[in-house]
Order: sequence, then C-alpha cells, then structure tokens
Amino acid sequence: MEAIYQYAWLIPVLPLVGALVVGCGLVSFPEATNRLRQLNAVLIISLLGVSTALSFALLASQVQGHLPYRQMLEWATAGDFHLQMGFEVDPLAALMLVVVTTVALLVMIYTDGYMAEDPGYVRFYAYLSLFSSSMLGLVLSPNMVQVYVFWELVGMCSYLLIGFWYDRPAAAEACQKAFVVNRVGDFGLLLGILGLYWSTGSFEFDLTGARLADLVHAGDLSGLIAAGLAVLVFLGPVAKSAQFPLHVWLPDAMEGPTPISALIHAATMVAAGVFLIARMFPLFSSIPLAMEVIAWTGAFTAFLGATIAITQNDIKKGLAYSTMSQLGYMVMAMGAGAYSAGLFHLVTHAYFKAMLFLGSGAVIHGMEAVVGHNPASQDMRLMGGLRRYMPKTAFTFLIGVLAISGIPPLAGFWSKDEILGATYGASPWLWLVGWGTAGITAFYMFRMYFTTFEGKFRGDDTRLQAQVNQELGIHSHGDHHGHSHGHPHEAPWTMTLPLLILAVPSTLLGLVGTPFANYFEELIHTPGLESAAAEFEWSEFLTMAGSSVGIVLLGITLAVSMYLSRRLDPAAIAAKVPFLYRLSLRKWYFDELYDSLFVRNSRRLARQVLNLDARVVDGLVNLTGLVTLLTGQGLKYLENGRAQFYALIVFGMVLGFVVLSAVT
Amino acid sequence: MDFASLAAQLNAGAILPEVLVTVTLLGVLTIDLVGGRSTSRWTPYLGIAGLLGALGALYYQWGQANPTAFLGEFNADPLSIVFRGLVVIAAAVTIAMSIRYVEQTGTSLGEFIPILLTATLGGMFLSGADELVSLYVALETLSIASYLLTGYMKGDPRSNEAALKYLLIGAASSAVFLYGASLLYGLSGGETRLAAIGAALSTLTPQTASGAVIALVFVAAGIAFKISAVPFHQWTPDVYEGSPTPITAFLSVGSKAAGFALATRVLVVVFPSVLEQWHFLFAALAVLSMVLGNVVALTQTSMKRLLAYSSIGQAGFVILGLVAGTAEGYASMVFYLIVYLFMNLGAFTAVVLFSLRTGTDQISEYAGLYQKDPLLTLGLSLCLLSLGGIPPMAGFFGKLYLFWAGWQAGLYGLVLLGLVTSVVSIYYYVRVVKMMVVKEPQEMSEAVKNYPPVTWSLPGLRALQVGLVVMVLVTSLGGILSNPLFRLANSSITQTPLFQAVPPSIANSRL
Repeated sequence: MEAIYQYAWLIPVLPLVGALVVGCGLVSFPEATNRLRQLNAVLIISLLGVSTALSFALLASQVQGHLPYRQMLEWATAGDFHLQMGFEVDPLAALMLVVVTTVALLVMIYTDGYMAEDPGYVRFYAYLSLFSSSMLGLVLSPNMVQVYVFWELVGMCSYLLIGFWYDRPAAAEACQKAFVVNRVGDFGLLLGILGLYWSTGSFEFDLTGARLADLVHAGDLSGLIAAGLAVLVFLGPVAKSAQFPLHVWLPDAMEGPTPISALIHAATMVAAGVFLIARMFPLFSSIPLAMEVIAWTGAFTAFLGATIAITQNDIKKGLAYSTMSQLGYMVMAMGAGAYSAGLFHLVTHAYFKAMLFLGSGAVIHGMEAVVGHNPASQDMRLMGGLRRYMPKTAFTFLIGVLAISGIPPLAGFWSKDEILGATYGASPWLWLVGWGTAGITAFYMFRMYFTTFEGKFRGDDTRLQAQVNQELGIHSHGDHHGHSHGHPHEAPWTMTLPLLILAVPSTLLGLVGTPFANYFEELIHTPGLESAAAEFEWSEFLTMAGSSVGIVLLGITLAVSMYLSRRLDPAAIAAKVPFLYRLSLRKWYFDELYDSLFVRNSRRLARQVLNLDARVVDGLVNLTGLVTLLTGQGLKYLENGRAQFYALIVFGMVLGFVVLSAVT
Repeated sequence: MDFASLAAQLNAGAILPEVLVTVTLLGVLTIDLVGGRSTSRWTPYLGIAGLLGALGALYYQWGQANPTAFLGEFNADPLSIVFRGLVVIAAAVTIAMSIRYVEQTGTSLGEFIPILLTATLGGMFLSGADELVSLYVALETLSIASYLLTGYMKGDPRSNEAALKYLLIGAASSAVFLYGASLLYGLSGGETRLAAIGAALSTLTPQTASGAVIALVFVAAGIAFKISAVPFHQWTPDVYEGSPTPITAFLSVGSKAAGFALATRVLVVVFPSVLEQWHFLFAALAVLSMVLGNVVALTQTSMKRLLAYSSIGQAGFVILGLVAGTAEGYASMVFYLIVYLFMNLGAFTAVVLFSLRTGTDQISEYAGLYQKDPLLTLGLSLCLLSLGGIPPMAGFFGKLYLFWAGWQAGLYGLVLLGLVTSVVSIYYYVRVVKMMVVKEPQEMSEAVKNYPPVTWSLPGLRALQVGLVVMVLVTSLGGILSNPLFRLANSSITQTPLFQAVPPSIANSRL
C-alpha cells in the first residue's frame, strides 16, 4: 500500500505534464497542434484518468484506516529558517482529490462536445489541464506557503479561463474583475500567513493553531490580534469562495465557457476557500470571535445569493448566485463548528452543481441553434418547453434541482440537513437564516426548471426575442445566419454522458452521510477530536428534517403556482413590491456601490498620482537626466582614449588614496 | 628521494585541476601543430572536455584535510576551489561561444584556445596563491594572456588599440602592485607567505603602521585594476569594446572572479591590522563603481559598452559583500559571483549570437528581435532581467543576500546606495528588453529585417546554443531553487580556515 503513497505526487504532476506538452506544442507548432484537435484531448484526458485512478486508490486506502502520509523535502534554508515543500495525504486530501479528479475528468469529456466548434479547443484543454494540476496541488499542500502558491495558481487559471473568449469585451472585463477582487482577498491571506509566522514561527496548519492558542492563553499575544490574524486569513476564502463582501466577481465570471463555470466556479476552485477553512480549522476553532465572523458571513452570503437568484433571467447567472448561496451554507457550517457537515455539503454540492452547470451548458448549446451564438442563448425568457427537445438534459437537471432543494433521499437533503441541525445547536438565529434560505432555494431552482424545461417554447417568438436582444444590447445582424427558425436539439453523447454519470452521485451520495449511519463523519471529522458519533435521536431528526422539508415544499408550491400552472402572476407580485424586486434584480446594488466607493475613488486617486508623477517625479527624473548628461559630458574628458592619461589617473588616484588614508 | 614521495611531500595533488588544464593546453597546441588546420573542428571540444575534467577534479578536492601545497605556495581550501571553479566554467563557456566567432572572423582557433587556457591557468593559480611570488606570477600569467586575447583580431584596428591600452595600463597597475608587494616584503622582515606577512604587520608600532597603509593602497590599486573598480576602470570600456566578444565575456567574468579571489585572500590574511583603512578604501571603490558604472551605462548605445559599464556597476555591488567583512558578507559575495557568472555569460553568449547573425551590436538594432528569434530574445531578456535584479531570477536573490548581509553588518549608507543604483540599472537593462520585445513589426530595425533564418547547423553553433540554454536555465531556476548554490557559497566560507577569525555577522565597521 505504501507504493501508491510514494507516487501520490504524480496526481498533480500528470495533468501538468499534459498541459506542458500541449502548451509547448501550441507555442512552437501552433498549426500542427491545432490540427491534432482530439488527439490532444485524448492525451490530456487519459493523463487525468491515471490521476483519477490513483486518487480513488488513495481514498480507498484512507477509508480502510491507513495513517496520513506526508513526504517533505527541504526547499530553502537560511540560517534557522527552513521552508519545506512536499505533499500530505490524509482523509480530507484524499476525498478532495477524488472530487476534483472526477469532476475534472467528466468536465473534460463534456468539453469535447461543448467546444467542438471553437477555434481555441486545444488551448482550452491545455488550460483545463493546468487548472486541474494546480487544484490537485492545492489539495495536497502540507503547509500554508505551498497552499498560497497553488492558491495563486488556481486564481491565475481562473483568470485565464474566464477571459478565454478574450475578444468579447464582457469576458475581458469579467476576468479582470475576478482577478482584482481576488487580489484583495489574497493580500489579506498573505498578510495573515505572514502574521501567523511572525507570531508562531510556523507555516504548519496544526502547529500555528496550537501555538497561537498557547500564546493567547499565556497572555503573550492579545486575543484581538489573534482574531485579527484569523480574519485576515479568512479574507482569502472570502474572495475565493465568493462570500460577502467580495462575492461580486463570481456572477460575472460566468462569461467564461460553461465547462469552466461547472469545474472552477461551482465544484472545485470556489470550494477551495471552504477547504482552506477546514485545513485551518484548529486555528479558527480556538478563536470564538473568528468563528462568529465566519458563521455570520456565511449565513448572510447564503441569504444574499438566494434573494438575488430569484429574479435572474440568465440561466448561468442564476446558477452562479445559487452557488454563492450554497458556499455560504458551507462557510456557515464551518463557522458553527460543524466541520464534517460543511465538507459533506462541499462534496455533494460539487457533484450536483457541476451537473446543473453542465446541464445549463447543454441547454445553451441547444438554444444557440435557435438564437445564435450570443448571450441571448442563456436567457430563460426565450426558453421553455425544452423537455420535449432534450429529455436527457431535462431529466438530469430535474435531479439536480431536487438535490439542491433538499428533497429526501437525494444528496443535498442529507448534507443540508446536517448543516441546519448543527447550526441550530450553535445559534438558533443562524439556523433561522439557513432555514429560510432553504425555502428560497427551492423556489428559485424550481422557477428555473419550469421556465426552462416546461410550458411552451418561446424561442421562436420574434417580438420577445427583439425585446431581449435590445435589453442585452445585442445587435442582430439580419436573420441570425438563418438559425432563427431552427429547433433546439439534444446535446451529443459526449455531453449527455457526463450528465448521466453525475446524476448518480447527486442522487445516492447523500446516503453515506445519513445521521443514523454516518460513514462520512467517520472518515472526515474535526481534527484533534475522535469521531464524535453523537447519539442519534429519531425525534430530533424528524423535527429538523420535517421543518426543512416543509419550507422546501412551500417554496416548490409557490414556484408551481407562479411558473407552471400560472395561477399567480409573477409580474403582478413584482409590481406590488417594486423596491424589493428591484433590489434583487439589481443584485442589492453592490456593483453600483463598489463602483462609486472604490472604482471611482481609486480612479481619482490614480489621476492625482499621475499629476504628482508628471510634475514632481518627472521633474526629478529630468533633473537627474540633466545632471547625468552634464556628468557624462564631464566624464567624457576623463575617458578620452589616451593611454598615458589613463596611467596618469591610476598614479594620481593611488597617491590620492595614500594621502587620504594617511589623513584619516 | 623518488618522485612519488616528493609529490606527496609537496601535496602536489592539490594542483591536479591545473595539471589537467596544462595537459589539455599542451595537447591542443601539439595537435594543432601536427594535424594542421583541419583539427580545429574538434580541438575546442577537447579544450572544453579538459576544463570539465578540471571541474571534476576540483569537486573531489572539496573538504581536503590538508589544503596547503608546495610548502605554503598554494592553498586548495574551499574558497580557492569555488573561485577556481568559477574561472574554469567561465573559460569553458567562453570556448563554447568562441568556436563559431573565431571561425567566422577568419582567424585560427589553434592558438586561440591555448592562450585562453593559459589565462585560465593564471586565474586558477591566482585564486589559490598563498605567497607573494606565486601570486605575482599567476597575476602576470593571467594578464599577459589577456593582452594577447584582447589583440587576437589582428585585422581589426580596434582590437589592436584595445590590446595596447590594456597592456600599458596593465603594466602600470602591475608595477604599482609590485611596489606594494615589495613594501610588504620589507615591512614584514623578508616574509613572502601571506599569513606570515599578516602576522608581522600586526606587530608594527603605530609609527611604522603608515607603511602598512601605503602598501595596502598600492596593492589595492592592482586589485582594483583587475576587478575594474572605479577609479581604476578607464581601460574597461575601451578594452571590452575592442576585444573579441567572447574575450570580453571571459574578462568580465573569469578574470574578475580571479581578481576577487585575490582581493579576498590578500585583504583577509595580510591586512587585518589595518582593517578600518581597507574597509574605508573599498567602501569608496564600491560607492564610485556603483554610481559611475550604473549612471554611465544609461547613455550607452552599444551593447558591449553597456555590458562593460554594467560590469563595473556589478563589481561595485560585489565589493559591498567584501566590505561587510562578516562571514555572511563573504558568502554573499561568493553567491553573487556564482550567479553573476551565469547571468553575465548568458547575456554575452546571446550578444555573440546576435552579432554572428547580424554583424552588429548596436542596441537600436535589437528592435523587434522577438519576432525573428524568440529563443535568443528569451535568453537575453532573462539574463538582463536577472542582472537588473528582477525576481524571481537568480540575480534578485543574489542582490537580496548581498544587501541583507551588508545591512546586518551596519553598512546602511552603502546598502541604500546599492538599492538606488540597482533601480537605475533596471532602467537600462529593461530598455534593451523592451527594444526587443515590445516593438511592432514595422518598427523592426534593418538588421532584424534582414535576419537570416534561424539555424543551428553551422559548425560551432550547437556548442553556443547549449551554453546559452544552460546559462539561461541556471539564471532563471537558480533563484527559486537557490539552496544548493546558497549552501555552496556558505560552506566555502565556513569551511575555509582563514575565515575562522571573522565574526559571523557582528557589525565591525560602520560607514
């Protein structure tokens, strides 16, 4: 069994090799490489396949109770400062490896169908492989420095992939926004890591937590500073996992191709924030204030995301806000101390959200046949009745919707219920927010399902199309290349197969973490604590589960009556509460607020600095230039090329130094 | 007494690397005499092989129990091994880049390589010489071979002029140095071994101590000439510009490394009694070199002259480590010299390649090179950025270590000046990079427009390519994976007996 641990480093290295081979090919022989389209894809997918197999082997070994394995090598030494790099396989890492590799593998297979027509097909695979490699490296990182390195790498890959269609202005802007917002969080994370090193002298996850607690206990460090450091570290997850107030980049990131939205912005990278909180759990759990901050940030984000998702018309934006809201659940669980519940939700969410996104991609792919290759293909107002045209997609999407809403016995029910149960123990107020959000979630997810797949197809309604186009600012060129009167079609098998495969864990995965037989918690439990199998009580479980299923059913009923049977008119309700409606539609005005608060002010500051630069700094530079020129002219006479003069200087200088040394 | 026991008594094994170089030298010379011109296809590779063999021999010498050889004439301690290694690598890379260069200029390789190996030999002996006579002989071997190499392009008047200037100024400096050496001989009462002179100088009375200071200044002038520190630098730009480019590379790296070996050994062993004076003197040299080298480099239009002035500025940075006077200071100096070797030789290899393909070395002619020759552009850019100290290149870590060691030793003024001048240096390095990379196709220079198709099949180009790639790889990875180099630099100081008296990092001189 040891052998697979020694070769665990291959898991991130193999996709890196794939990315390098294809990347070098693209740089050196662009035409030839691009012509070998699917050969590249096969290479990259098979390399990742090997990583997947290794990951499963590792998880199997960890489930059987193998001890965590760690292998380090010295990376830099200076005096008594040692920096080590390496990898560590423990149950959490093994689990994350399996989640990342499986989702990445399925997304890569799906990509073949989705990007079949795209000229950047090969480049896309290279980026995907690079991302997988970085994400796997992040998961295996044994200390904070290495986490930070890979943290930045996944951020960079995310930037590259959001801006994949860099000729679309919206995509170019979105990738910059994602980058800048993440920079804020990453800077906090870096400060936090350095601060922790300063106070505890270690980059290890468990050591920093323990030492910091000791320092605070002994009174060597003020509790407020410790909490401040913890919150700084938490800023990293806030940005990466799109938590309030740094959540604004995630919805815009949907400008990237849909496979990316599924892989990076739903299943893996955004969950890295939650993963990091889990890794640093010993640190956070020793500081109650930090835990409070984390829990309430998560709860508010969950609520915020859900309320915005209600009114979104863009199918991917809707899913993005739902992702944000679900990530909020996980963070809230972490903050409430429900370590295992938060990670369980991370895993189930990764599968069903990836499936939902891939399903939305299939829908968009189908709609492009009708409205053309533009943002209108993502607008739910033009969809409807798609179940008849694409039954497989509709079926898997429905499973995803049921799972995320929390209908038993699908995966989402168990994990969400565990979170709600745990938060009730921590604070009833938190539970109330989570519980209410669950109802909203069910409502907006079913709204999405009904408007997309049920009712009558609205894509051929030219009047509606014109209205949507005008709203989205699309200038239709004549007759949409003759697409206008086509029908949406089912996606090719490379796209439906991953959907069907993902439907399996979305349905069944929850059963490993049921409260009466919690295998998941046996594997993944709070560090330092033995699996605290709380005695299970049917009465308590039934009250909690009953209340959450109750509010979910309420949400679904509302959605049915508004969007399926049309007994209630959504427009009329919106008109009754115009303020709330607009608040949700305009995303709580966060973009406008940040624009006026940060963007404009930093522009103004930049202009002032420019002025300062032009007047003062340039003046100084010009002065230096003048002085340099003058000295240069002067020195020219010393550099006249005559050897006897040079010799004179040598002797003169020797004498000068002798005199100078004698004087001093 | 038979030969074997004599050799054992003299500890002759200590000069095995030098013997290997000598054998190679004679071998190349004989083969060329016997086999004629056609042998020059492979004799350079024989030269490189011999140098690599010497490098291997140096590796096995590390950590020897008894480093003193020839009754104290020569010292094979880790410090000398590191510096001899630097000289050997510089020579090997120089041969790799000169094969095609010499061929194309129509002169013969048969003499070029033996002369270069002679210079190498001089540099190696200089790095280990522990006694005044052997030290001076080694210095002159290096110098005379360098004069010959500088004037090697007989048809080129600039080369002739450079050789003559170098010879005259070199002779003058050498005379000054010799005068200083004779003073040392007299002051110490007839000692020639450096350690004995150092011991004798420390017993001088305050009245006679001024003699020691005069000897210091004279010796320092000779050293400053070799490391081309301002104000003993005037020969540098003219000689660097006139010499064949590979020789310029060797002078700026190999010869300079040998100069620093000489400086370290002489200053630490002979002049501890006038510590404050030599720290002051070299601090002055460092200030002048950093300022003048970097400021004048700003206005250069020829790549070779730019690199010449930049090497003056770089020497200023290295002196900073010397002046720090702590174990960390010396270690940072060694570390920076190692890094400097790779980045400067990489840059020179790229310049040689460019001039081979276009026949010019004007900076403006590099415009738009990126579109025609990406490998050359990448290599030159990385090396220049490293010279400028941009992270994560090796040069950044080298400068970081130097400045850190200087700061620890209390040289606040010098370190701040170093920071400012290295910012200035970034400007002129990046200007070249920008010239190559940013320009649009229509802004391409004439030379680049007529750029020949990139091919490596001409004889000698393959060696140049390998050299370039190795240098660039070390320059770009040597920073992130700097630990082996770092350990090498540190242990070369901590394992050398003569630094045992040096404090590890206590401030002993404030400026």
